[in-house]
Amino acid sequence: MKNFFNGKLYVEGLKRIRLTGIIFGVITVLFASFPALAALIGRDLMSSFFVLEYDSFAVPIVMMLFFTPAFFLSMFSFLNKRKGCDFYHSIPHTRGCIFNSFLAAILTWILGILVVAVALTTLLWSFCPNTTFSLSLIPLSIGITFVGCIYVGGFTILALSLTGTSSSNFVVTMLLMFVLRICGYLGIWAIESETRMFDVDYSVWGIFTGRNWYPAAVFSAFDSPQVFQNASLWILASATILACYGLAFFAFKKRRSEMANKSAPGPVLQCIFRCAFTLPIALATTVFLLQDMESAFLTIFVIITLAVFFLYELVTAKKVKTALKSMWQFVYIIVCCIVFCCLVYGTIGIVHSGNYTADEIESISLYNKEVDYYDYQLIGESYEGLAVLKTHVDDRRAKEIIQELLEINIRYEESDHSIPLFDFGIPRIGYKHVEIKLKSGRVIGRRLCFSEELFNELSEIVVSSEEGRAAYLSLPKGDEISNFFISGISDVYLSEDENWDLWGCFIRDYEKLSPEEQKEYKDSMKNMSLGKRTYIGVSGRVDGRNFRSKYYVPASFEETNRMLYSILSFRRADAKAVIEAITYTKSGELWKEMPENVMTIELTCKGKTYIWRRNQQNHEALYEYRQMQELSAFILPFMENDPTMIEEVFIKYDSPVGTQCIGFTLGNMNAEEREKLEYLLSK
Amino acid sequence: MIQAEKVTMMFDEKIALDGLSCQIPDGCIYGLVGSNGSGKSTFLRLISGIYKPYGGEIKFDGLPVYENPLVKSKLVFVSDDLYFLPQASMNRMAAMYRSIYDTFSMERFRNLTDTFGLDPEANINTFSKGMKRQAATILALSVCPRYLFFDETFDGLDPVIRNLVKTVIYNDVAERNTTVIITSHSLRELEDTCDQLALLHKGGIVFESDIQNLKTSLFKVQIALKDAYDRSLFGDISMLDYVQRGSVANFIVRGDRDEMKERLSVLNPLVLDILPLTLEEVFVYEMEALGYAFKDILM
Repeated sequence: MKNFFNGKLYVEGLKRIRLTGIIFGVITVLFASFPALAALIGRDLMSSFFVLEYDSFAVPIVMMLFFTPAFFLSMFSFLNKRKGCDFYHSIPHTRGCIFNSFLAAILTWILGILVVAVALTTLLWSFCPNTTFSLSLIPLSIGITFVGCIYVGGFTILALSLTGTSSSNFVVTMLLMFVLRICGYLGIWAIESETRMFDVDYSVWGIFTGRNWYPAAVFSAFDSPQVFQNASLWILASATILACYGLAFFAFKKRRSEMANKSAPGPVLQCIFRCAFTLPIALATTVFLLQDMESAFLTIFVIITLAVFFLYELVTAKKVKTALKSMWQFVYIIVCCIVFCCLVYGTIGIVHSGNYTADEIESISLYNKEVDYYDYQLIGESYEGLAVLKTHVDDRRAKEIIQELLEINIRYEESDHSIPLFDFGIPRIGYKHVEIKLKSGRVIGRRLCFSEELFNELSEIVVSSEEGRAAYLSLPKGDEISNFFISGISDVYLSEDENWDLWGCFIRDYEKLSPEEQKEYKDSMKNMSLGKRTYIGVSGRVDGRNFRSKYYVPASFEETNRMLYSILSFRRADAKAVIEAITYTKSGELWKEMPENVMTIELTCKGKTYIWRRNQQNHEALYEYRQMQELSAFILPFMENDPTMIEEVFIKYDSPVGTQCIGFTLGNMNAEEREKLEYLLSK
Repeated sequence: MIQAEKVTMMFDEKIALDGLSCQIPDGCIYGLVGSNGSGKSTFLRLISGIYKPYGGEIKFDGLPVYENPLVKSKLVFVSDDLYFLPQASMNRMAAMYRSIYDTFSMERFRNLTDTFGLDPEANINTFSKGMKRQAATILALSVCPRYLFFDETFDGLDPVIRNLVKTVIYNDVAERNTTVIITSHSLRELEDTCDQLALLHKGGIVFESDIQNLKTSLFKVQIALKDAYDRSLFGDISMLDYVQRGSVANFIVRGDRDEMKERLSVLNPLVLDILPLTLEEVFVYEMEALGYAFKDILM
């Protein structure tokens, strides 16, 4: 252990990067807390309900991921100076001990800053009105970001161990982070541009997709908690981290002082770095070549490739003669491009050779892989949709459809898209993902162009199958649910227990329905605009995919409605006072009669919404109208003493537990509640 | 005792040390002298555990030094290119040394900074080159190590400070039996400091000897005789160099001074002077005797 880690050296490491830590810490904490501070200052303007989620900490996350290399550079900068190397290699600690102790110091600073930034941000948000969050979000956000920082740090420390100048440190860090991804992305791009049937398995190749072009591209694997829920990504990330730190440790131990001020430890690595630096642009040129780009465009790219190759050597070696002498190594780039072409065409060949017959197919599903884990567009993908899509059917006709489509699509792709698809008998409606399970046990994914008729027929087979129907009528189960969001009657935050109790009531009410009624309920949701209807939102994950479904609460769901009002009833005291004030005043001086804690009143009347907001300065009424000419319509219900015209009332008010928002959708109230409210309004 | 056995070191294709062997006893001040690229710094880096030798081995009391914290905790290496933390003061550096070396004495550090007149609070970047060397030397001495290695450290010090450093080193050697290795281009620099001297050339020690022995083993004879004579007159006297101009002959002799005087007095010389040699002269003649042109090696 003594040779592995040293406490004093660790403390010395903490001191060594103290300045870096303080500067970046202050910047991160300030920027992280800014949104919460802004919300806190403008609390009276916050009318909507806000749920704190993982991406609410995006600022510290992204900032720390970018700052991480700076911490490593600051700590291990001595590697770029011979005198520094001599000093640290002469001290009475093994190199492994120096590496580990300093690494631990860096990670401590990063973790410390993250803890402070996230905790402070959460604390500030907790003072903001209408904001709710789960405490589990804090360790989750810190944990994921920290893993992301370790990931980025791995590339940096490896680059630092392999090179000896600041410029080469930076370039090699970038190469390690991006080159493989860019090459993979180019490969997928080349294949997809050659055959539309190629279906990328995002669970494996997700990091090579276009999502890598986020500003924080390299960290995309860690930009959401889902990395922890996806085994292949997790394994890939862990393997990368281990490989980076393992190699860095080895290189650090073997590194000699004279490596300082050298761009690479030897001619072989120098050649690899140079080729890696040039490879993405060379492969991009190859892809353009495969796509039959214009020759002038291609010529420019070839020249750029050669220039990049030459300039890398010129910048790192600083000698024209050396740069010219190494130009012959461009042959390695050409070899890589040839191998790249072979892989692309090999993959295309495999895809086009998969012309399976109905007899060879075990089952099929319309599992949609197009949307991957990182995509927030997933919001909207319903539980039912996922459940049905992943249903595997072994219907003979379904298999024949797939056989037919495989044959047509392959012929179309092999014709180089020169013949319009409808010449094959398909009026194209678009590409759909299909998962085909073969009798040999293999499962393959394909994108197939469907005709409208065939797609509808296949969908009908899937939905009408016993499994498909059961999947459609099913509701999310306990272990599949990660979050609830109740909306429509009130944006008041419910506790975890209240959520689960409410969901339990909903399931019981739903199960009381017959299968036909259940289908009718589900069908009715397809085109329903929920608006401010009372609904229970459920999000979660099923079979590695995210879902987000909203289930409105019909009046017939008695137990659920009863539960909702029993939860909310004790929070209504202030609201009743507000309604009373509205009814008493019936004039523009509404606020003078209103309890002082009432901030905003929102009314829906005749299908239009009006917001009435208290002016903090002079406590006079401040009206906001969607349409000024509707002023009379706003006052009218009170003036005419006809409160039944009010469809919904939402009131935002200060309470001992912070600012709350409460609302009533009159249509959703039970008879007793409605009667009470109408009495209040008409009083 | 430091023992280097057939140590070889290479940088790419270039051989920096070629089968170097030596033994440095405890409590010795060992001087390494040689021209640029002779391998002095490489040797110091090897015995400091910075480099792993390509061949051979270096042991401290039988223990290898490379990646051995036990041995390294007893040594401090002061490089020719000094390392300080960015924007650090001497106090900050002392704190760092204290976290690295268990034997670091803050009391000694304070005493030495007082003695040398350096401000421990001042940023080291504001120090002159010589002051930086003093600072590095103070830090190294404050570790109270058993082995101290200086790579051309004295070359930038003024005579007063150099003597002060030497005095501190002598005291360390006397009190703690510290072994000190000092490298230099200049033989004069080491002449009055070291107990033992080694001359490095092209990666190997071409000559190694005790300084006292060196200084007393060779002397210069100047003799003038009345009658004509030549070298054969002196028969079997072991000479390293012989120059005769007319009746006056100068030669370098190895042996006992009194015995030589007695022997030459028999010839009734008109003039007979037996003069001591400077260390540099001793080296010149010894090296020439070994077949090296000293000026090619050191000058």
